[in-house]
Amino acid sequence: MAKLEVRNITKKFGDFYAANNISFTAEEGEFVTLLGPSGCGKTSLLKLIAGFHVADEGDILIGGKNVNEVPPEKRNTAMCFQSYALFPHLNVSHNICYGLKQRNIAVEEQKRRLDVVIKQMDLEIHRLKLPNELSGGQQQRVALARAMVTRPDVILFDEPLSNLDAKLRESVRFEIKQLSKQYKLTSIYVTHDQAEALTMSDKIIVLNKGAIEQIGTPQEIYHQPINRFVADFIGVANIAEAKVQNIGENLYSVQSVFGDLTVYSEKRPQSEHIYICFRPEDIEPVGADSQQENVLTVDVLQTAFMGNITEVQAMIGREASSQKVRLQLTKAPKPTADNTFSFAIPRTAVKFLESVK
Amino acid sequence: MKSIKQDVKAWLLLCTGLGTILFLMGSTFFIVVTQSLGLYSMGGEESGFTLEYWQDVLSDSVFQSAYLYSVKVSLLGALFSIIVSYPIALWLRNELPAKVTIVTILRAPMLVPGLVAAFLFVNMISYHGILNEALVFLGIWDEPKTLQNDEFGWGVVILQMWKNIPFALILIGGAVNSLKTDLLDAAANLGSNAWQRFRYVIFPLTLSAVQVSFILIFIGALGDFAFYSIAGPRSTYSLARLMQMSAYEFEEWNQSAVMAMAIMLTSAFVTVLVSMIIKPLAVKRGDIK
Repeated sequence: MAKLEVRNITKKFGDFYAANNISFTAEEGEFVTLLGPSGCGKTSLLKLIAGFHVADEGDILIGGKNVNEVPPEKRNTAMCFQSYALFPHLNVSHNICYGLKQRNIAVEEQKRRLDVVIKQMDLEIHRLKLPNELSGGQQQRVALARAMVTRPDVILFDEPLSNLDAKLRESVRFEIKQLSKQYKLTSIYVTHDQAEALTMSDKIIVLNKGAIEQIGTPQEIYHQPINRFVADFIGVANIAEAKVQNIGENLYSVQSVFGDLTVYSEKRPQSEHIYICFRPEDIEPVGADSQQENVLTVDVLQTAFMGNITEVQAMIGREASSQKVRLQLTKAPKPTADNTFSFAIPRTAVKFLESVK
Repeated sequence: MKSIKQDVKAWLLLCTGLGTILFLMGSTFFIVVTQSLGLYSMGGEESGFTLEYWQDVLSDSVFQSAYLYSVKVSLLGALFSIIVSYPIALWLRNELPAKVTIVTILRAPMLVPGLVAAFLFVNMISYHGILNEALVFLGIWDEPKTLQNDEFGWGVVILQMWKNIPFALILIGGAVNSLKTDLLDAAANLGSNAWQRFRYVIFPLTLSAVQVSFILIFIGALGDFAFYSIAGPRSTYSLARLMQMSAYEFEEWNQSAVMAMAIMLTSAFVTVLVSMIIKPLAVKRGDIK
């Protein structure tokens, strides 16, 4: 395993920036996720690391060695493709050993590594089958085995779970995470699924339009988003413009469409006029006559029972500046449409985002 | 009852296409087989089963040299057409400026009749043709050389290639273009250089196109008449020319039928042989060895 350093990488396709001055580091054994919407440049960045694209500017270092001029076959990265990219004319064993054969590894060693990985991936009964004789989950495991068996410096995952059903996705997600930890793999994982990113990563890099919006741990990204894009893309957030005034140590008075709120934040607001947000699950239902601080009363538009939670869409405020909010409730009371519902926003639940321009 | 009626209707509908093909091919094949075995005579003479015509033809040195020439030229023509088509097909896989124009130019030979192509080619390589004059002018040769109607048949091989590369390109190019980029990226990512990607991924996955191209080009070349007539060697006949001569100039229709059978059987044999060679190359099913 090796450390990966991406320094000021820029890649343009015509006028479109696939990567715009991207810099980040993945330490040895670290699991880093590139998260962003479709077309944000995350797969292009992965292909730049693998060597399938050549950067216009910047450097990529693997194990401290600049690989800008190194062709893909000599970079010692292994990629798990979204389409699995299994060779349809080779059976499972030959697919897994393909990389070993290309590296002229002795047949005995190939067999030894094959036996280990095939057992680990629970593919023993499928070892002589062709890819078209396997299910999606089995194909994904073969692709994973094929990538891991070469013992790459960096392993690259390009949305590897997107073709699997929800249940299988969850189980393969944990397999990847477990193997990554077990072998201390330096992993770069591309996804647009925030749940995948949050559950698997040591570090998340949120990308938008070819640029990095925020880098942090899953907890930092979720609980301390730095702007509206990150707050809205990771999970659900109720966002509004606000005027902020400092009223004590880490204590602020906030005026917004959500009402007048008292907020505790160790992060200082960038200016007096900023965006704020709170997560739908952070609210606490209260009675309409509650004397608690930060109590809001909303008109419920509709509710949706989703098993472990009830999702509520509501309108806050009755004047022209009214705004829709989303709330998530895990326990009673369950509000109903066309009624009012009161809840409190804890002081620490409100987050300061970027300045209003 | 209803199902039988429907079956009959279906078979009648099939007859319009399949029936015509089977009738035309079957009757021709039947005539050739019976003619080669002496069971049918064009001249209306008394006929009876005999292997005499087969013995005559197979022991004839003129037929033997014509057979070897035709098989050799057809094999080389088909093989070289495919070898040249691959790099062009791979090159055309890339995004190129004026790709449509390039493809159109590459397909142009398909629109030129073989006889015209052979005539142009012979003019080009003749004693005072462009090629000889250019090589002498450049000082590569001291004097012009006789290139046309060479004894080996290289002129015909080149013409077969010229005519058949566009056809091979359509089949092999289609197969190469249908390969997913992810597969080639995966191969590169796993350590394959360009040659290894071709050998271990592109070639096996496009073998069915190679098989079809090879067989069709070989069969077409084996029955070649036009290229041989203009650019072929003067000391050896091609099978098609010998067959035509035997039938129309010597009125030996039964011997001609034997030669037709030889062409058909060779085509069938090569088809089976190529399929048998290609099948194990296309898929790897066994354990690691």
